[in-house]
Amino acid sequence: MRVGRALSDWRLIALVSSAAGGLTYLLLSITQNYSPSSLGWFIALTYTWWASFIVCILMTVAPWRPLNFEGTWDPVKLRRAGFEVIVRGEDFDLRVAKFSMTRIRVRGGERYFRTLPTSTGLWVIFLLSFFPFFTVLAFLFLLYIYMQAHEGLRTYGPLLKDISRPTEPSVEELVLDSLTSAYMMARQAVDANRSRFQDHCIIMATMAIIGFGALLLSSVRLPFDADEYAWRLGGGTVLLITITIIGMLALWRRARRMAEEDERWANRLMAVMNGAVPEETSAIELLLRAVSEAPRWLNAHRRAMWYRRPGLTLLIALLLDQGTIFLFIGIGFDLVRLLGGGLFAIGVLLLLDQYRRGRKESELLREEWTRKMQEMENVLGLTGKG
Amino acid sequence: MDKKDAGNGECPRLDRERVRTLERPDLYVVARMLERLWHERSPMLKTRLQTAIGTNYDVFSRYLDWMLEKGLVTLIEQDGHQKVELTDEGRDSYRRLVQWINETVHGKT
Repeated sequence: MRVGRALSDWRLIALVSSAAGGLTYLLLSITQNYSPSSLGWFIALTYTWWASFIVCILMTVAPWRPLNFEGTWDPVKLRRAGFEVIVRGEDFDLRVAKFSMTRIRVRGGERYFRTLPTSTGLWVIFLLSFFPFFTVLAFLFLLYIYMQAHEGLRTYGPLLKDISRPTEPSVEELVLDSLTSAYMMARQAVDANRSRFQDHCIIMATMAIIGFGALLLSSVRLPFDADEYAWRLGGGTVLLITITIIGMLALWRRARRMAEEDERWANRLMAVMNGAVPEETSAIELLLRAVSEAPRWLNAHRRAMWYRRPGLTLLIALLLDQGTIFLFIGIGFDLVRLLGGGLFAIGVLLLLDQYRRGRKESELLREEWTRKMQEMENVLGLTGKG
Repeated sequence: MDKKDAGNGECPRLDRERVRTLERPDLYVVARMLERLWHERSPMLKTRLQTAIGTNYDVFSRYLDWMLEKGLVTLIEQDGHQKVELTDEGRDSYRRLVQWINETVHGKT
């Protein structure tokens, strides 16, 4: 199996150069004692910030690379073999490392892949990009994700060659296979819900820290009054901590309820597989009921709105972030504030569009499952009057 | 009651009134019955099948008549008792149901 080396792509080299160039310009500007209020320094800082962020986004939506592999990349086979697979229309995402996923596309017999961060990786990039110098770290982290994806595909390629499925399995084998797959889906949903809770806690804690930083800056008033500063800072800190704790508690209760329900499902499926249930227990009925739970289990992984198009998610974050900053720091520069307002407005519009698409996708998913249930009832001739 | 003697030991008794009252059969009950009959290597006593699927006699009778009308099962006389057996169509329906479930949980559309 041949997977191109990441650094051999001339486009990657060009993007790295643009990011490094901006940073170099900034460092030179600082060493030459540029005044912080000068427009040139401001431009250099913004360019570094933007350049690093744009590099991150462009790498995330990097062009499709050919995947030369003898065999069939079948999401069904991959899932049966225990890989984490998310089907997205004609493409599918395959998790190859802790922070790396690959989106695989098959067109006319040709196979292509694109590197994507996992949900955790995406949030790390987003939070690092809040501060100018941290965007460089975000870029390095994304480069790590890129390398891990390539390494993962090289590792899994030989393993996937051996995956095979006997033709014409018996009904009993199909039932057992279905029970196993449903159990894995339920178990992965439990893990996904727990992981999502941990991710959200990390995000809430980080945003609380960022909020505290903003509170520190905004509490300063001229002329400086120590008592007023202490009241503002103390009151704001208490409010921040209260909101963070309440938010975490609410998330924990929701995540625990969902995880417990999925845990019960997983245990029931395992019990039937092991034969540790009374003879009257129906495996087929349990499977039919599990099928109706499948959309919810799949959604625990899907997170359609934010992780389906991570490049667009990062772009929205950039627009909102930069727009806000331009609005606040562009005091005295109407053009800067106007630009900030425009960026913020575009970011909000894209955000609303993402939300609308996510709801549409969920609605289509529900309609698809309703159609499938109808199709299944047709198999048994259950439609119409008896 | 509508009686029909197939002349080969099979005595299907179909209560069309009971079938008409079963407007929309419960998928889970039908699936349980098909599964139970599939795993039996020989025709099954009606009472035993009723106990296996966990319904009362009236509900069981309605579903049995519905499945007889659909041709999924047939009744035969054996050892002086009336027993239920899956037909070829019933076996095929159960196999297709299992295949559909398998394809669905694996995400195939």
